Amino acid sequence: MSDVSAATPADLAAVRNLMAASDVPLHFIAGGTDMLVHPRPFPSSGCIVNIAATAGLRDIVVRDDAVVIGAAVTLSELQHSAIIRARVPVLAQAADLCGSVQIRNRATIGGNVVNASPAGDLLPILVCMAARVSLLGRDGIGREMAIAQFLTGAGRTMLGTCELLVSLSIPLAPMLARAAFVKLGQRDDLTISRLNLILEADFDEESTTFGAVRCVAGAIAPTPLPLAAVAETLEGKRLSPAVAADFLRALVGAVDAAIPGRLSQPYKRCAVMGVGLDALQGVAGGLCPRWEDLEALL
Amino acid sequence: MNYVATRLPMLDGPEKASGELRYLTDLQFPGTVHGKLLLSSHPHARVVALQAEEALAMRGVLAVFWHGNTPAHRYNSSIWFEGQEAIEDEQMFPSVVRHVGDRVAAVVAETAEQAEAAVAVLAVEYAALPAQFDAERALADGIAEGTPGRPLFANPIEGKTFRCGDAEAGFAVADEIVETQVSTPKTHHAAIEPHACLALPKGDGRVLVCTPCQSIFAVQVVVGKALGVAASEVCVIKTAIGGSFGGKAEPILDPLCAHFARVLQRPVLIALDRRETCLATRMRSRVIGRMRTALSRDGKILARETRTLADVGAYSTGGNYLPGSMLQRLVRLYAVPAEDYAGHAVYTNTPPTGAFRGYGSPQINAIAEINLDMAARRLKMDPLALRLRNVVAPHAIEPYQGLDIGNAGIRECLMRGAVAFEWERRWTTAPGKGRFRRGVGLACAAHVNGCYPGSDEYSTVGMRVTEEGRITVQCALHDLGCGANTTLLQIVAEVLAQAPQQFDITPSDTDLTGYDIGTRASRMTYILGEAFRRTAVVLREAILATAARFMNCAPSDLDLRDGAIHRISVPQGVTQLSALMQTLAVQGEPLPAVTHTYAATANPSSYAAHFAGVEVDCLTGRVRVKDYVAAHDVGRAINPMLVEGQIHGGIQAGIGYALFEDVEIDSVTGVMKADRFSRYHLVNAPEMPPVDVLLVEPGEPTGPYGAKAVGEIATIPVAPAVVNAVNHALGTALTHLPLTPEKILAALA
Repeated sequence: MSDVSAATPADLAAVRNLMAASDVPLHFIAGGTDMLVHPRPFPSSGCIVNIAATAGLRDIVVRDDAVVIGAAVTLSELQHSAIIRARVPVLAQAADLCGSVQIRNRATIGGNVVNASPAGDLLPILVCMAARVSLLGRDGIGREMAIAQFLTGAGRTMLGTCELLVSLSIPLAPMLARAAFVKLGQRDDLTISRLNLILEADFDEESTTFGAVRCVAGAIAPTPLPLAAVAETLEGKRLSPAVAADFLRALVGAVDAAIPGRLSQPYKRCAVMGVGLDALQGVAGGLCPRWEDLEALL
Repeated sequence: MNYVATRLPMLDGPEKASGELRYLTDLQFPGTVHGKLLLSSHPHARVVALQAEEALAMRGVLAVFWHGNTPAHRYNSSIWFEGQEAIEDEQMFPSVVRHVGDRVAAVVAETAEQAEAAVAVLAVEYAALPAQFDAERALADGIAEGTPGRPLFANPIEGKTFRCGDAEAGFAVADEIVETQVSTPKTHHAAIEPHACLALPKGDGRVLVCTPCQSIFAVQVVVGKALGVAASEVCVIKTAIGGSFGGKAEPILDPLCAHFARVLQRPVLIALDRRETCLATRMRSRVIGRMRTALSRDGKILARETRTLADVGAYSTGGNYLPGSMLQRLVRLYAVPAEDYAGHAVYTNTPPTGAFRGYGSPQINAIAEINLDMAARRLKMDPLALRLRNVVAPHAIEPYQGLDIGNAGIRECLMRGAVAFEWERRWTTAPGKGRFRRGVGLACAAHVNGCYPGSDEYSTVGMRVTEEGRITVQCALHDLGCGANTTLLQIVAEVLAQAPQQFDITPSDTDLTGYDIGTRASRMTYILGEAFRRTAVVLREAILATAARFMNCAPSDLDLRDGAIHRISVPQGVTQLSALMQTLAVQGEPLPAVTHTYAATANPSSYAAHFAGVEVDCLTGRVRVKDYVAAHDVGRAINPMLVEGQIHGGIQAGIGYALFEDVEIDSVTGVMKADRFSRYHLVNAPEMPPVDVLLVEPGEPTGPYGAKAVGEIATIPVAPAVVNAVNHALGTALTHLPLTPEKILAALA
């Protein structure tokens, strides 16, 4: 452990300098809420680079028709940011469902992304909204890619050795009018998702008709699972008990296809209907059919 | 009453809230070295060899201990006095490990990090033995380590059978016979502070053990047995404790630390992390119970047949008396004319179990109270009416030990609780047919007050007045964080008419403090409270006798109040206690000091009736407890605020027992799945319902100012009340705890 050094770069320029000057492995740490959890092995060599307060990684701005979120923005900041609440409210709601107040005050969006937990709560939302990640390599060269491409498996990403996630950008143009995020854990609060779902949709209350619809599920696959077939059950349809039942049936089918034979399948294939109904209600409000009206159709 | 029945904040509360209170691992002793355990990865195996050379060569490493170089004295960590009969099946490092998490070896090094790094390079050669994780199969097969002529580890560990009345006749004339099988999970205590212990070699050749424990004298005896030395070679000091719930009742690390400190002649600290605390300490035993109840059409219980099977894990600890403990509590709640009870405890290759808030009561109570709700359903009878029809009357004699149950207030608990909960209206309200269904459930409980008529149920208390007029109290007290010390001082404050802040408690130390068996069996308020009250009465007499001599009057002419001695016949004749003590000191006169030993004479029951309202999501299987009423017969609340706190905490633990908590031992590998809080789910604050506490205070004649216990009973009726409510909401007959969402959906499918 004595071979480990530490650095706290003040800004991105200092990060670049450190990258250029140092020849030991760099381990970036922000909130530390995943990295410091025992029994996760702590690095035995190299430099721990604390980016929790690094200027340039802490901002939320609107730039080039996208909301750009610095990697070291905490979940609390996400939750309370006026920009996020106005432009991507579902992300603020999801941040509020992560961990405890203490965790949210430390944990960052960048950490949530690079840790790439299958149960990560922000990931389905970022995938659904086609967010892009911006990376900085040790050679000082940046690159960018879609988050769906960046997340490659449970705990696995395209992040290179000593590469830093700088920011995420969520394009505003394709964003749909309404979105609901629903999380199912063992408890209501301070709980790890067993299943989560984002439903994003254009929905006209007058005609009770859906326009475009997107749907992504978390915690039933190594990475967030886009559910195009589920979205199709709503897209362009007038919301009725039959359509809602189709939607729930498609969700059950998606779970069956995602985790066939898994111990959790019998539970999740039923529970996903509860999650789906909550999401539908989140999007359609009082126009969402009640379970009593759907049960017979399923 | 000036101090009793007041809502005095916990006296050590500010210290805790401000972080000033130092727990064991906050203490620093120069030269302390650190022990780290190597825990077995096998559920049952012979430890054939240990390669320690590499570890011993590492920087800072002082020693590696394992069965090859450690005394093999057998002991039982659950005993609390010398000569207590118990199965001695534990060793510091057994040559045959008996569960995943059993102790294989330990490294002691200069730093904790060095010890941890060295443990990682220890190479163990195991010879695997067949393992048994299932209690029912364990009962059928037995479980043995294969040493001929040694009866250890033969199943069952112990059986308890009891019959009273004519059960056959009861079943023969019954209108309904209701049989239920209930199982309860293995659970973790989840005290905030994980287990830790520190031992220091003393200059006089003895070893000092500093430990957050429930009984210093129990630690002394157990460490002596494990090390093969006289108990007097060991002295023990209790440190501040970050919660216990029974988990720290048995000395687990203490023998190891004491041995290492004696060998190395250095202070040795072992501090477990959460996973180690889950795997290598104690938990609540899993119990499978079958109850068959015979009832008349109008709801009178005619007879009961009860069979229990307790999985106590890899070591007996107190498992030999667990079946009897369950029986002891079972027979204190309802007037049942005929009982037929048989209980067994069996070993399995799973982590050992031991004391845990209620010791057997939450298990047997879940079995009995769920069965009774099923009986009410069969009889088409209100479960409240069924209970009211059968609850015990005050001062009934329970059939097992023949003891007076005291001034039992269970009927009033039920009636007042039912009104506060609006039971009748809610019970008759349909649960609904939609996604969310609402139900209500209730359950009663009885629990003991102390160990009487068992051995050693006494306490020795010393009290003396200082020159400043403060009062020093000496007794082996073990406040586990529940506010016992505050409660006890309220009692003596009442007798001596001094504010509780005028008392100083000598920290529990086997060299200094009077004998007491420690915090167990709900005995703090009832037994120690009475011991304190009586000692204070004796001290009061001593103070007044001394004062009478100095004031030249009869003691009967004196009264002690507000820190002063008042002459009854002379209105202005007031002498401050502190002034009198200073006079005595200056004149070289002895200051009043007394020691009193109180032995219990009775063992009444505390009672409770709990009412839970739940909402079940039929799609996700999630249960939310929406509101809760807890009515408790506490005899008399010495501190109503602390009593309410105990009840709130008991409900938190009980809801977890009903819905979430289970350490989940894998049935094939014996590996504990829920060995961390991300997998072992406790009820947290957002999950808690609003709780309405009703205190029923009929007064217990043998208790201090009428008081009885509350700490353990607070959690006992919770799980069946919640389970009964879920079954009411869904029309199901769920009986296997915890009611996870999976089980709920499976029952609805």
